[in-house]
Amino acid sequence: MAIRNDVSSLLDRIGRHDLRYREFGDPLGDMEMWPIFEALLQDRRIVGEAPSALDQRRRSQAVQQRMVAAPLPADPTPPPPPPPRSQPPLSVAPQAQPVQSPSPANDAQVRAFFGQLGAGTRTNGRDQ
Amino acid sequence: MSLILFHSPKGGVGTTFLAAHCAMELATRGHDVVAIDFTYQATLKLFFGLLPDQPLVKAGDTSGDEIVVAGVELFDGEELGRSPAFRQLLSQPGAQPFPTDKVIVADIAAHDRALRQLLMPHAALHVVPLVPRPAALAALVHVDPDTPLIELERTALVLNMLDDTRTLARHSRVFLSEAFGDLMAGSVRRDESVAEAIANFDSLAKLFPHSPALGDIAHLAGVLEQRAGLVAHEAQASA
Ligand SMILES: Nc1ncnc2c1ncn2[C@@H]1O[C@H](COP(=O)(O)OP(=O)(O)OP(=O)(O)O)[C@@H](O)[C@H]1O
Ligand SMILES: [Mg+2]
Repeated sequence: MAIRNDVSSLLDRIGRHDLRYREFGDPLGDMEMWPIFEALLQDRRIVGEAPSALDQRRRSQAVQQRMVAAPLPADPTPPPPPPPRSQPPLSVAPQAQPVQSPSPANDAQVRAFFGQLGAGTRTNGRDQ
Repeated sequence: MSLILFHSPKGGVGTTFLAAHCAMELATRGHDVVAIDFTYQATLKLFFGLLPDQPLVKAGDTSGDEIVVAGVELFDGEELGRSPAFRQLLSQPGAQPFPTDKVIVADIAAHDRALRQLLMPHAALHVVPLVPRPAALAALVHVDPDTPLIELERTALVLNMLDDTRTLARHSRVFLSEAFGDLMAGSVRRDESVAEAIANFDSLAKLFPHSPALGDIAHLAGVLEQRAGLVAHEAQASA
């Protein structure tokens, strides 16, 4: 590999000629992410109930094709809002887990906090 | 309900930055906005141009003056978030502790998914910031412990620190909108002036009013406003 001029003169100056030279680009900027995209599309925590192997392959092929087909914008403007999801969302957030029993001192703090929040408009100031 | 949670399963992706600026943008749009920093880092205030040693009003402490910056009332919610009484109240069936006439923006630390879980039943929207990096995308499987990502109803993914000159970033954005469609609420460009503003202890809007990231957030806030149902709420209020 051809060595860059600035590098060879630097190596000359420090008297090192035994270094293996390698040019590094931006290590991440142009990385290929398909393996991780594909893994996400096959993960039940992302897509829900275990799809058949064929479904999985179809899904990732479809996304891959659309990605290849999608024109990559030259100017970095935010993307337009995507079309509505065809699949209806199924469920809402889970019930929260019970926690330890309250301590009296904290009860007052919590009440005071919601008092603060509900204290009307700011121009009235703190009025609960 | 007008509680908007900012929480990502991956740390360092700009959750606090987005929470702060979306709060300011929603205030600009006429909402009565409260922002609560539930993290121990207490960095939310920095994006408002406050100093690291400037304390916020503690949520639940009514003794001091309120702190309102850029139209947003700021609270330090770190102690409150850890308080068993708060957590118990949130998990009570039928509890509706948050006022509906204010927009409450909550900044939640990445590690604190427990708090995200407790607040979620009370939230209109959960904003999940991401960056175009493999580890952040891989963390998408942890957005909700029980429900697959594509089935989440009140979740909005935001791709932050986007650099469209890089293949990685462009592909991540296309992938996220193709794979998750409506779940993607928008993207915010990577912008060096974000760090510069903090280093100067001043707000981004004041120092760099033409910051590309700010422009993106203005657009994003409009999308979040819709998703959180705030627009209808405002229309009703003014009717
Ligand atoms: N769009 C952006 N462009 C440039 N820098 C950004 C952008 N968004 C965030 N940053 C910078 O990235 C760093 C991390 O941001 P922030 O603290 O908001 O992340 P976080 O997800 O809240 O982190 P943590 O997990 O520690 O709470 C900060 O220094 C912030 O200034
Ligand atoms: Mg943070």
